[in-house]
Amino acid sequence: MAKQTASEKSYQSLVNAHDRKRPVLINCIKAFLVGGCICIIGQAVTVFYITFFSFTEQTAGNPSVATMIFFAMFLTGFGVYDRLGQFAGAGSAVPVTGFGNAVISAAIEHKTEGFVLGVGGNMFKLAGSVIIFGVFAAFVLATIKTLLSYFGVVN
Amino acid sequence: MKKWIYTFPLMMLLGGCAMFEKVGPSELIIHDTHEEKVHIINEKLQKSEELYDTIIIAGEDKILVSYKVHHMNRFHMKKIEKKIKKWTEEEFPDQEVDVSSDYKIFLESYNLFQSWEDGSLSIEEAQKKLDKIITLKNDLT
Repeated sequence: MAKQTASEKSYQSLVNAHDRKRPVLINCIKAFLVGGCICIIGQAVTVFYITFFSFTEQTAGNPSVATMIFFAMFLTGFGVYDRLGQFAGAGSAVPVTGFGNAVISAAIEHKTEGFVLGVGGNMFKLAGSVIIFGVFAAFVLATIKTLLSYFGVVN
Repeated sequence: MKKWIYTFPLMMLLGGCAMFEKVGPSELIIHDTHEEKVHIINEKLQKSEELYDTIIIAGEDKILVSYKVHHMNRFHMKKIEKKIKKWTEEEFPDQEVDVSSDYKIFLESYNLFQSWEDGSLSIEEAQKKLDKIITLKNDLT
């Protein structure tokens, strides 16, 4: 950090005196519980797909993820997920449902700018970076794995 | 909102209890020729502490072994599967034995086992169902 001048230092102490303390521990617990609840729903969806369709434990992951994103999109549209997000913070943003929320909330926000430049252009404003970095990370990992198995390090 | 925070996980937990009932070791022999092998496999599985609820199904030319792993041992799932597979290959080199810890395979095996016990299946039907389960297991990718 750059060196602070005397006036900056005094201002910082003033801020510290009036700033409300962040309840980090409580926030963590809230995020843990709500994130856990979302994962319970996800597990229930997975078990549903395993029991009633011909998906195995390994293949049931894909449809469950899609269903969870779909649920989150619906809840965002009805305004429920925003409140959940305010309450739980990262607990609702980190699971895959946060992706659905990011897509739909951006779409709603830019609706007034029209369908093409507004909704279409801004829908993936935040979700786009998730997709880009996800695809890129998958590419890098797959390349590493392919090279390793090519040279016989792993099988 | 606050009420939901307590009721929802409780509901899920209790619902989970109803779903995953215990089966215990079970054997299903469609063709008598494999009876001895099934008993040997069953004895071996009984001895390993990591497993519970095992189902062994012997068809015309294939044997399917499905099992559940104790929760804390689920970290070593791949290792356990490898171990059992290696053991079956050494014990029965000229017998095809399919090993799976997948819940879906277990569920289908259990359904087959139950309807076989009820006596509502003919040998051909049971064999057909077993083949179906094995195909399901093999196209996991």
